[in-house]
Amino acid sequence: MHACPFSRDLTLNDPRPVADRLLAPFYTLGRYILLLTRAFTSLDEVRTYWGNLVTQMVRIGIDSLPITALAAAFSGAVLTVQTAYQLETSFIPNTIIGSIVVPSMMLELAAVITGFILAGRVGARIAAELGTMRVSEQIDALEAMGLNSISFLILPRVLAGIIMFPVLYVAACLIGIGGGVLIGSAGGFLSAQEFIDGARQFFKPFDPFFGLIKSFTFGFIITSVACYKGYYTSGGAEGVGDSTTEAAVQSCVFILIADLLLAVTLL
Amino acid sequence: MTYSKEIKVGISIVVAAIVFFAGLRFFQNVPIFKSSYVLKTEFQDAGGLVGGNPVQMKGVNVGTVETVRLDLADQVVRVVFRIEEDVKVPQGSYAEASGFSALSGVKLSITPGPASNPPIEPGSTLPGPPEGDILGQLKDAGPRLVSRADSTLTDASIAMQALSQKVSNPTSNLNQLISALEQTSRNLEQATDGDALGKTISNLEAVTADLRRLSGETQAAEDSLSENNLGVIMARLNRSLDKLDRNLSNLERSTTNLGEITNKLNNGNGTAGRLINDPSLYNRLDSAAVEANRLLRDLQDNPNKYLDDMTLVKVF
Repeated sequence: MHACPFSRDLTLNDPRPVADRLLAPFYTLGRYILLLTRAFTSLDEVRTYWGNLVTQMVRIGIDSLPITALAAAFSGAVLTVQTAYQLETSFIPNTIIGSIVVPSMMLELAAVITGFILAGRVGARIAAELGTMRVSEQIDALEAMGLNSISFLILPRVLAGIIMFPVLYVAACLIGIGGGVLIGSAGGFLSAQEFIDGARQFFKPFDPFFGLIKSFTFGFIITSVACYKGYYTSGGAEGVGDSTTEAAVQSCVFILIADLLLAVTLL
Repeated sequence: MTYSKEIKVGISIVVAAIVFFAGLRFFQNVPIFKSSYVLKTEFQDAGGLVGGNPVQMKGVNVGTVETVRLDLADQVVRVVFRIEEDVKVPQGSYAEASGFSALSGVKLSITPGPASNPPIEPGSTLPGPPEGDILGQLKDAGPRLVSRADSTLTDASIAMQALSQKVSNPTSNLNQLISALEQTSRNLEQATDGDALGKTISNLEAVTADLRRLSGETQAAEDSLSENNLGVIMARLNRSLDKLDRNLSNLERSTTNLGEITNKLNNGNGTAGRLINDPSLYNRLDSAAVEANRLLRDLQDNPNKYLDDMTLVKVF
């Protein structure tokens, strides 16, 4: 019922007609949009599955905090050290390091690094979960019991991603900037006060809001792509593996595309 | 706990929201727990000022710029900024955008008015700088500067033309001066090349040696003075000085008398004065001499005229 006639790769060995091969991306896009539409039209059923939403928020958000914090702390520290290395001239004050590291974390690194980590950790998990449910016909069983499988399985995950990703972004910003301050003063590159003064000197209040917009977008992309890949898995255990890999890889690709589009349109 | 997941989620979201807004105010350099109030100002040129730049009063951060918008209708830049509540801006203050946009950052500087003035009400508009910035002043003074530079260059050009004519004219004073200088330098060269300079130098050396010897003798004399009978010499010197003093006072009196005599002579007083100043005696003597001269010549020419009258000669 849910098997995709265009699911194979667009390779030269593909036996499908050329027209089908050209239409495959549009088919995929249409099915993705329809799935999300069905998910969000059943928004009033969230209260029914509140427990499921909270479980997903914990799994996607709170359980991802340690790895996000680790990545952010090291990114902030490395960015500080490398900026200090690049600006090693007496003409440029040390405070400029803070002026570069803090906006970089807020605008780009905190959101994108968190996005990549969640694409691997959360996206793969969602795709594997839903794919296994699909190939083991648990989703069909839910439908047979009269439950709306989309509102039960997909909506809580996508909502959890949209809500919890900004929380992770804020944590990544805080810890990344903290890592920068720490390595700056511990390594003798610049004092914490110089770092903060530099950050304040060129701070634009829109920067963190732009990072929040990115994090909402990335959270939506990761969870929705993973849900789509998992929900429409076919082909047994191998299909689950394919869906998991595609979910992680395509999430990363769409994160990069969305990152560029947001930077071009909003900055 | 039944609500453990919900509590975790709720706490994480609330903490994230608090961290976000606290961080926003922290990096805006607005105190997190202090309230603030809004002021506005208007500029002709924002100079790179953007929202988030610090607001400083006498170099101290007191707030943050919120928005900078260009009003195309009035062609002015409207700036809204926020200041800490306990910082009162007295009336008569003005705001200006200062600093470079390259490295040090642009800021909104408030120059406060007299402290005795009442504070400006929140939400009111602070006036911009009283005069244009340095670039603006340069822009205003530009046409005058260009005009002056132009006239100066014209003058310089005329002067250069005149100089060129002087130089190119072979009979001009300048050329004569140059040739005279050339001649002088040639003479100087010849003088320095010859033996005269060598002789002069050897003479100078001899003079220097003499001076050195003299200096040595003087030094010896000084030494003897200091060592031996300095007191006796000083007493003699004092006596000599006393005599000299007396002689000088006599000389002074004589000079005074001489001055009086000279005055009398000049004024024509007394015999000598009249003799010097009155020309009539000279004139008479002169005419007498002329007459005597004429008489003698006449005597030589016509001796009989006078000898005839002499009875003694008639006897013989």
